[in-house]
This record gives sequence, C-alpha cells and structure tokens, in this order.
Amino acid sequence: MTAVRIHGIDASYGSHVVLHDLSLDIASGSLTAVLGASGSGKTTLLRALAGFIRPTSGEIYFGDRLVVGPHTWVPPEKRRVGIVPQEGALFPHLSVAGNIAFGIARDEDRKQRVGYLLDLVGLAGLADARPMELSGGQQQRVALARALAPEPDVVLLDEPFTALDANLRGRLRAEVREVLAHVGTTAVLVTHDQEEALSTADAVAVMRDGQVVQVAAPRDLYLAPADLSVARFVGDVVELAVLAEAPGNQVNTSIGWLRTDPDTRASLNGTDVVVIRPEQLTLTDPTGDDTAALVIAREFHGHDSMITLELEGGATLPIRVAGAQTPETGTKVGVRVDGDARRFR
Amino acid sequence: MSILETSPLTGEAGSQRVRERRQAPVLLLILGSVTAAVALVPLVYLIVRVWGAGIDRIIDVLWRARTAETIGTSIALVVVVTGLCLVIGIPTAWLVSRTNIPLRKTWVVLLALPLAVPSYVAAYAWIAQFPWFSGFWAAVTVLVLVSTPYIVLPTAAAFRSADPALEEVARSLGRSPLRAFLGATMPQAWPAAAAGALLVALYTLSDFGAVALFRVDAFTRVIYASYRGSFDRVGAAVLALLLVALAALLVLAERRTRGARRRWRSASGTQRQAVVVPLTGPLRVLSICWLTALTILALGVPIGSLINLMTRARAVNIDVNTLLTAALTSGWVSFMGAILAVLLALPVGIIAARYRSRSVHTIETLSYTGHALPGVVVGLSLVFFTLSVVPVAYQTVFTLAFAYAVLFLPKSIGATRSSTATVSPILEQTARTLGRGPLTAWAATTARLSAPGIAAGGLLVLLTAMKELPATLMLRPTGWDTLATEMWSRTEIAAYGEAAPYAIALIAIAALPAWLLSRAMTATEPVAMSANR
Repeated sequence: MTAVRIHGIDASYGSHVVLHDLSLDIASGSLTAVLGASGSGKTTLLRALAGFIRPTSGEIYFGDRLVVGPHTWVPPEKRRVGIVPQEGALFPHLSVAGNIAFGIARDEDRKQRVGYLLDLVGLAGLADARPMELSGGQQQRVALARALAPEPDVVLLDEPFTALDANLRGRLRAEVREVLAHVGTTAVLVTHDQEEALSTADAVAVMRDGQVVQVAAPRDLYLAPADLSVARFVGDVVELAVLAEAPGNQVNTSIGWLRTDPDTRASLNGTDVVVIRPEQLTLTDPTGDDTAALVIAREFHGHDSMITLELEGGATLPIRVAGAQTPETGTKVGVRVDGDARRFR
Repeated sequence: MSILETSPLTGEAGSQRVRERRQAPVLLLILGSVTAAVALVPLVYLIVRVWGAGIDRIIDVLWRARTAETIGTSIALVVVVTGLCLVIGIPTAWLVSRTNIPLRKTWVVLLALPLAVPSYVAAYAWIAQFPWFSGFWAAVTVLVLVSTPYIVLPTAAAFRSADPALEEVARSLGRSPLRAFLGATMPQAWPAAAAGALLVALYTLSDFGAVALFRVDAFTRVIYASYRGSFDRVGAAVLALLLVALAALLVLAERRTRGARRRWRSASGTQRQAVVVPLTGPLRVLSICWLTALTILALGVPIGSLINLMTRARAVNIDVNTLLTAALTSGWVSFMGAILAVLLALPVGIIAARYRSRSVHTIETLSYTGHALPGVVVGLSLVFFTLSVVPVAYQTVFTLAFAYAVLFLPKSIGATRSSTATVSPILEQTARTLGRGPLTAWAATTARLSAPGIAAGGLLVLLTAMKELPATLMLRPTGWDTLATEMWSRTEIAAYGEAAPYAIALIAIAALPAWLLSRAMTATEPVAMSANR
C-alpha cells in the first residue's frame, strides 16, 4: 500500500527551480531514505511534504487524502505529519515532558502517553529535564518522541543524525529504526550520507537536480545503480575503460576480460566504462593466471586497508582488503575480479 | 566575546574555558578593590548620612503623606511607561522583523533614532511647541516615545534570530499559525523584551529632565526640589536611598533575565531565515500608518519643534560665544570624567575577562553600583560628602568628573572587559615564554590589541557625560555652565528659542552613544545593555 504519493511536483525559490516534475511513491510502514548531495532539493521535498512550502504544481496524496493539488492546500497543522528537524529544535522553554505533550490534545490522557513515549525512546526518568541539559543524542530522541506523540501518518526526519559524533550516530540510527518499526509509522529520512541511507532505510530514493533518479532497495541500489553518477554517489567505484568487447557480455579492460551484466546504463558524459566495486577485487598468488600487479601504496584503516596496485602498462587500481591481510608496499601480487561488472556508456 | 556555557549537569564547561580559574594577581585585585571602593562612595556616604540622622528623623520622613505620594507617583510612572512600551514595542518589533513591510531597514533606523534624543530635550521640544502639555500623562508620552526603542530593537533581533524550525514543528503538531507563533516563537523573544522592559523601567525611574519639566512629583524631582529649596537634607537623603533601593531591584531583575537570555541560544546548526508574513491590502496600509505615526511622534515633533524654534530664534540672536564656551566646558569636564573612568575600569575589566573567582565577581558587581544610581542621587550624595568630608572639593571640576566616572564606570568596564576577552590569553602567555615580564608582556599583546575597544568605551563615557543633567546641575562649580545646564536654565525661564541651539548640540552629541547602543541591542548574541541616560 502506498502511504505517500508524490506526483509531478515543481517547487522554486523565486526564479531558482528546486524541484522539477518530481514523482515518488512511499510504501506504507516503510522507512524511505531520500539521498542527495547538498543542493539536490531533498530538504525542499521534505518541506513540501510537511507543508512549509507550497509546490507550484503537482499533487501529493497521503493515503487517499489529497493534501497538495491545483486547488488544494492542507496547512501543516492539518496534515498529520511529524517532523524531526536537524539538531532537534526542541522548545527551549519547555521541559522534556512539555515538549512531548505539545502536540497531544488536552482531553487525551497526556501524562500516560508522554510516559509511554519516554519509555519507547529510552528516556524514562528525564521527563522534567530541560532540553539544554540533554546530550545531542538525547535531544534527538525527545524530538522523535515529540513527533510521534500525536500519532502522525508520516514522520519526516531531516538529517537528524548529522550533528552527532560517529559512534553515537550508528547506535541512534539503529534505535530510531527500531522505534519506527515498533510503532509502524511510515517514515521519510532525508540525508546526504550514503552509508546512513543504505544501512537504515528499507528503500532509498536518490535525488539529483530536483528529481528522483532512482528508487530501490539499498542492496539493489548499490549493486545496480541507474547511472554512473549514482554509482559514484552510493559507494567507491573502480572505473575501467572498455578496450574491446566480445559476444556474451565480455569486455576487455586493463585487468583483462570481464563479464558484465546484460544491462547497459547511462554514463552521462559519453564515455564507455565498466565499473566494479573495490571489494570485488581479490589479491591472489602472483604466480597464478590472474593479472599481475605491484603494490605501490597502502592506507591502513584497521578493519580494512585501501591499497593501490600498479598494473603492467602503468594503470593504477584501488583495492580494499581485510586489515590483517595488508601486503607491504612493493609486494608482487595477482588480482582477480569476483562477480559481474556494470557497463555504462 | 565568547560566552561560557555552563551545563547544570556537568557544572563547568570543560574544554571551552576562556577564563582561567586561578586567582587573579594580588596587585590587580588591590587596584580592582580601589575601583569598587570608589564606585561605592556615593551610596555608602548616603547610607552614613541617613543613618546618622537618627531613626526618629527617618521614620518622620517616611511617614509624611508626601513620601507616600512620591512613591506612588514614581511607581505609577514606571508601570505605565513600561507597560505602554511593551504594548507598542512588541507588535512594532514583529512588523519590522517578520513581515514584508516595505523599507524594512529604514523603519528599523527610524525606530532606533529616538535613542539620540535625551529625555529633557524631547520634553523641552514638546513644551516649546505645545505650552499646555504638562503633568503625568505628558511625562508618560515623552518617556514612552524616547524609550520604546529599548523594547523594539532587542525584540526585533530576537524575532529575527528565533529558530524558525520551532514554529514549523509547532505547526506540524497541530497548532494554527497564530498559536504556533505564540507558543514557539514568542517564548524565544520574551527574554529580550523583558530585559528591554527592565531598562525602560530603570530609565524612567532615574529620569530627571522629563519629570521636572512636566512638573511630575516623582522621586527625582522631589529630591532635587528638597535639596534646592528647603535644604531639607535628611528628607532628600532618605528619599534618595528609597529610590536607589527601587533601582537596585530593577537592576537585579535585569541581571536575572540576562542570565536567562544566555541559555536561549539554540543549537549552532544551519540557521534559516524566519518565514516572512505577507501583509496585504488594508493590513499593509494600516501597518505603514502605525509606523509613520510612531515616527512622527517620536522624531517629527521634537525635530519640527527645534527647527521651528531655530527659525524664529534668528531674531533672538544666538550668542555663539556662550555656546562655544559651554561646549568646551562640557567637553573638558566630561573628558576628565572619561579618563578617570577608563583608569578605574582597567583593573576590573581585565580581571573580569581573565579570571573567575568569588573575589573577582564581588569586585565586578560592586563596581557596577553606578548602574543603579540615578544622577540625582550621585549629585546629592557628593554634595553632602564634599561639604562635610572634603570641603576643598565642594563644587569643583574634580568632583563633577568624579561623579561622571562613578555614574558611567559600568560602560567603561564593559568595554574593557569585552575587548580584553577577545584577545586570547595564549598571546600573553607566549610573550612571557619569549622573555617578557608580566607587565611588558601585557603591554605588548593584550593591551595593544584591546586598546581600540577600551578607547571606544572611554569615548562613550565622554559623550554620555556631556549630556548628563541632574548631577551636573548640583555639582558644577559656580559660574560654570555646560551645554546641558545652559539649555536647562533657559528652559526654566521659558526662553525656548535661546535653548534650541543647545538642544541641537546635545542631540548631535547623543547620536554616537545611541548608535552604539542600538547596535548592541540588535546583536544576536546577548550583550550587557545599559540605559542611555
């Protein structure tokens, strides 16, 4: 079932067009990440969903309910959306409980609901704390509880983890995911961090120049990007020029013949390349049949290492290996490709 | 200046320490204590005098029906002026910060300009134009017009810097636009408005010129009259002490709101501009009419009146010699006062910027005493003090300069402190490691870099002192006349035309302090503000 249907919306700030004929369907109960570089229009899309800006054309449906259309405009307070802004934006003049209760109608049993939400986000006992007494992670959890309090149809998360340190970010992501799954609310996560999008979301919509260029499950997005620019955006790539091709999807490159999958995709600039991910390359024994190479640089990260190989003929190749198996600079190795390459032209 | 954020959970802000926790050098502490002692002279001597009069005399003064009337009048004046300033100021601040009103920046400047009109100049301009204009409501009108900027400027700045995400969140949680504004944005602006309101209250309570010209028997006028006329010294002293007590309450309240304002800074993330409310049709016309009316009343009337007087005064023949003499006298006494204030402020400003301890805090707080002392009180106390303790100093230039230094010491300390705090102590420490002694290291680094700020503070004291009225009236040497007293004596005998050139000179002098003040009040970072009296 579709919880949010966005159909052909345009939005602009003055003469600057930010969203252009954008369409996107978001499945009910899913966590969908909207992934884009800064300036891609992802925040504008979120603001259009929340009702903070008005698209100049197109429609937005929440379920069967039309909220934006040629003659329809539902203001934010009637949309039933919850928002978790960047850095929380908690009301500094209210306690944690006051913040969470802000959107709950007076006649409801506020106290019980606030208690339930505090438990849900793991902050029981902090009801009377002031926002400024909380750590960044705690503030984001309160912001999430506040957004969930009126039982919204959709929760919008605007880069909620960006301001946190790396360690906390990963933990909070998992917690937020768990909370959202528990209440079963449809959620949209706006982020510029591909790792965050791939690890947190059920589906990822990649935005570029005010349009959605691809919507896919994280794994499909990573393995089968729609074009070269998406491929580069969602992870590290090894790009190899196509030297020759043969029937059966075989192409010749500087590391020998590779097999590609049957699809070819746009490279956007007319070049003809095949792309593999660095982890598809494996180091092998230099005496075997695999392409011979020389380790010329290495960058040790602990859990893994990026090493640079020089092939015969001078081409270089980045490759990721497990940290414990990092070879010394100057080692002669062989290199093998696992799995299919993707062709873009 | 970097402001230390102190978290209630961890106590101290750990890595952001700017000020050292070690104790300040003894020499600086001693010099700072001297400053604090000097600042306390008028207040302490007033207490000594009142105490010496005996409890019976004090009760006698307090029991007079006139004392109760005076208290009632002053409090009524403060409450009505402050209330009206809030009622007028907050919507005005909203108009110029959150709507699409045309010429927004011009309006902000026009709304700040009344700060450059000293209250007695504004009152004089009104009386000269409308001689029937007098009494309580006349004083209220003029005081409201000259002090509304104290509300408008900081509140407009708060509306502008308020995090728009809060209002958006409130909307998405089901609040209508108006209720989202009241529930999410107004609480962010309220501390700024409250701080401004307390400054208005303090300004009104200490004001002498407007209440005296409009013949309102508030504290300042009654104190001055009983000193002047009947030489009822005990009566004047007791009332002065009561006035100080009320002013001290306001200053303490203002400090508390300032503390609250600090904590209002939202997280340091990307700040978006607040959403602009489009005003259309009759609402737009009405808003422009409102701002125009305010500008006409606060600026148009005084300026129009002065121009009118000047053109008529051509016939009266302005005495240029007297005007120049008065300007030079004002400048000379105020210059001495400013030098004294800068010297006294130096040790206090430095230790306040660099060290944190109970004794530093005490010295700083005591040195700010002048902030709560109306000019009338300082004048009265120093008259007593010179007459009975140092008769040679009675009605000398030195006593007047001393009064200016005590009154405006807070401005100088503030400037010294903030300009010292902008210089990293690492520079001075590095100079020490390169072989300089404590004093030469300070002179080569911190002093050199903070000198412009300290000098600007001195200039501010100089210009503010030049338009000071009540203390000058009471303390000036016989035969000496400043711009303010020359204008005053002409106004008292209804020679309005002759007073006009002095009034214009005073507005010109007040312009720079007013500009600095309006900048401080529109800054997003909360800064110490003091009434531009």
